Parts: sequence; C-alpha cells; structure tokens
Amino acid sequence: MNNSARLRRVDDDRQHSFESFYTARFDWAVRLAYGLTGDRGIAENIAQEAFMRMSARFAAINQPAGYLRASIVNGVHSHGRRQLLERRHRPNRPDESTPSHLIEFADVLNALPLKQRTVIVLRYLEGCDDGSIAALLSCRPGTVRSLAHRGLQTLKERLS
Amino acid sequence: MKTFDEQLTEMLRELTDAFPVNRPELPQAGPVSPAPRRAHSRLLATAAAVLVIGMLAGLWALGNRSDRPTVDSTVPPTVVTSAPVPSTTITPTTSAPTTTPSADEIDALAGWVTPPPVQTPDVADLPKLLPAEPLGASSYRREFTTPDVPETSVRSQIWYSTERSEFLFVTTRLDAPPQPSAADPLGPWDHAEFAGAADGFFFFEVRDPTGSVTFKSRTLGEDELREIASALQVRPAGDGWELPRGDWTDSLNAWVGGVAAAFVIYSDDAGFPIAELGFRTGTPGLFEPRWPGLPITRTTFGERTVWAQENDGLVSVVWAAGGDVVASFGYRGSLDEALGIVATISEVDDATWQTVRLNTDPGDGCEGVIC
Repeated sequence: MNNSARLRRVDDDRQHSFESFYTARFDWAVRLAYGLTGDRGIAENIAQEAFMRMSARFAAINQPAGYLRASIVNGVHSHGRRQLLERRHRPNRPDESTPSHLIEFADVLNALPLKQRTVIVLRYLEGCDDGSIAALLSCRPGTVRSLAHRGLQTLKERLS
Repeated sequence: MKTFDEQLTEMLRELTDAFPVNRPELPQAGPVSPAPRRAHSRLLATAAAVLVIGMLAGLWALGNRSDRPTVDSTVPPTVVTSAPVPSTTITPTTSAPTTTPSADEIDALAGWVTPPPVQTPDVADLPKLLPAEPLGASSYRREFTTPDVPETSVRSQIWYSTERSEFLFVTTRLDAPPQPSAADPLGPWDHAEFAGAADGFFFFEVRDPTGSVTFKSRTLGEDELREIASALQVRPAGDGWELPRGDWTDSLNAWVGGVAAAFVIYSDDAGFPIAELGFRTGTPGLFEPRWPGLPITRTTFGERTVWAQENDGLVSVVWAAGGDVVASFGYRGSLDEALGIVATISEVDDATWQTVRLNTDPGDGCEGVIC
C-alpha cells in the first residue's frame, strides 16, 4: 500500500467515531460471533468484550473493521473455547431463534471442531479468502484449505 | 441448481440473520445505569469514560486555542471538494547539498551473518518431558503435528517488558522481500508500513532490498514501533538486534527453520481434556500470552523461567525449553496448581516416553486445553 493510500485509509477510518462504529458494527459482530460459536451468550459476551477493548484505543486503530473481526475470532478461540468445549458435554439444544428447517444444519455445524467451523464461517459467511483466514488463525493457507476440506466433507456427509 | 457452496452461504446467512441482536445503547453522558451482563456493564462504563475524557480533552483544546474561531455544532461543516491550488514558484536553492546518505544508499541489514540452511525438523528431536505424576487423569496420549518447512530460516527474537507486561515479537528475514511501488522510508529502511491487525496483534514491517523485519505486538502503537525500528542496531555476533531502550529483556533469540510439535493431552473420565503439555521446535509461536490484558506471572524454577496467565479457571504456562524449543502447559485449575505441576516437569527416558499412548488421528489439533 503506498503512502497516500495508507493515509486515505487512516482518514476514512478516523472520520467515524467509536459511537458510530459501534452502532454500525455491533449487530454484525454478534452475528459473526454467533456463526462461529452457535451460542447466544458466548457470542454476546465475545462481541461486547471486543468493543470494550476497542473503545479505549479506538483512535489508534487503523482498520477498525479488520481489528474487530480479528478480535472476535481471537475471542472465540481463547475466551470462548473453554465454554464451547464444556458445551460439548452438555445436551445440545439449538438456539430458539434457529429456523426449524435449519436445526439439523445448526446441529452439524455445532459438532464441527472449532477451527474447521471458523474456516467455514469466515470463508462462506464472511467471504474471506484463504490468505486472510490464515492470517487470522496464524496458520498457513494450506492448513486453511485442509480444514475447509474436512469441514465441508463432514457437512456434506451429514446433510445429504 | 445451486452448488453446495452457495447453499452453505445461504444457510449461514439465514442462521445468523435470524439471531436477534439486542444492541445496548452507549451512554451519552452522566451515570451509567445497571446493565444485565458483566461485559455489557464494563463496555458501557469504558465507553462513558472515553466520552468524558474526550469531552475534557476537547474542552482543554478549545481553551488552549482561543485564536481559533468558535464552532457552532448546530451547523454542519462545509466540505470543500475542489479547493483551488495556488501556483508556486520554486526558487533554486544556493545552499550546499547535504551529505547524509538516503535510505536507498544504506543497507539496514549490513552486519548480519548468513542464515543457517533450513532443515526438516524431526519430532524425535523434541524433548521428552513429562510431569512427575499423571495429574489424576484417566488417560493421556501423545500427538504430533506434520513438520512444516519454510524456504529460508528467519531470526526470531522475543523481547519482554516487565513494566508493560508486554512481549514484542521481532522477526528478521534475510531474503529479498517484494518492494512496494511507493517507498515510505524510515531511518535506514527503504520502506515502513503499519500492516494492520490480525488475531489481536498489530503488525509493523520495515523493508530493505536485502530483507525485512516484522514487529508484532498487542499494545505498542505505530509511533512506538517506528521509534524502535528506526533505532535498530545489529548485535556484535550479527545474529539479531540489540534490545531497544527501556526495560526490555531477551526472552527468546533463535533461528527459526522447520516447525515440529508434539503434545501430551490428559483427559478425564468423559474424555474432556484437563491438561495439555506441548513442545514446539522451530517456532516461538507458543511463546505468547494467551490472553491479552490479563496479568502475566513470571516464575523461576532453577534455570527455568516460566510465564503464566490465569483466565477463569484455565491456566497457560510457557517457557523456553532449550534451543528454539518452546514448551507450553495448559491446565484447568488454579495458577498455583499449574505452577506446582510445571515445577515437576522433567526429561524422561525413551522407554517412559513410549509408554504414553500415541494418538495417530489428532484431528485438527484443537481438542486440547489450549488450542
């Protein structure tokens, strides 16, 4: 990225206050966290924690949307992971908001290992490319492709 | 007929769109009313503090800039979209040219030794470490990851500041990186770029035609990273950078080649992981605080200095286990219990190591305590 493009990007982002960013992005953040976890409480907590961290340093963040996505993914893989592991050992009830024709899909998604699910959601819900996902997960693009392949295979087998 | 990928996207969108989101309002000013969730309350309180600080800063700025016109906040600001550009006459200077070399003329990586050749790591080279007791687990097993071999070795340095409770990851590559079309010089470097954030880290990179240095930090801002990058000095041995000013100390300094990792995972009756001991060679990747913002405890057992964090009943401990090997221990329990176990971890002979069942299908490696 050249200097002028970088400065333009910074200016674009800083035109938005934390309040407007919060208003514009909160729903998206919770829905992304819900897509990654399938759990309403964990999703809301992770999103709120991410905004809380950003609020104290918003002016210093050059790409708020990218930072927020990274914070959500990071939150899911650190703070939320233990809760997700515990959930595996409890009876799994779909969230009451789940449309009836998607309950089976939600069940299969909930049964995927966390990394496979993360790759599937980032790729098919967020439209992220494998390189971006690899950066978010601190792994190689080849690992992302492998995780996606295995996740897709499981989804196809169980939904067919 | 829609492809499976298209159907998957549709189902994910419908599933997440159907999820009702209750967005708490940010307070404009005044006291914060009680909120139903702990994180929610903290978010509101933090945001309120930011607003108050912002208002005070704004008042201070206005008070110190009385020469500026007052702003009527009820009137939208005018946006000038095509300001006329005044013509400028450039007068040739008669002063002598400076002799300071430009960034183009300086090799910022001069003085570095040639990196060692990359070698495929062998999991057999990983240390065979086990705690004195099996932690009360019903079962435990070993797992290995497939070795990952890069094209060239890189120098990985990790600096730690006690004052900041902050690690700074500095990775030096001595291969020619792709050069940007527009240079943004910084000190001896031809190009510097704040490369944004990923996975909770900020990334800052400086480049020269012969190599690059990447800085990774959770809390250091662009100005601080620029200051450190512009003042880098090569160590006399030519295998790293000197520590920056301040209270930074070396936590790891090693050539990073291929990566290999092994884990011993301890599980309870239900198969739920209760502890995880990991060893990774060729990467400092595990040498990171797992939870940004939470305190880091530094403890020494003989010659072993370990770094630990506790997060709601989950403990993460990491330490340098010799050479470029990093060991980690994840534990469900208290910090004291975890450190007590880490103190008993020691090298075992091969026969003892082989008694630990080998799991040949570790999945995505995400079934342990800390992924």
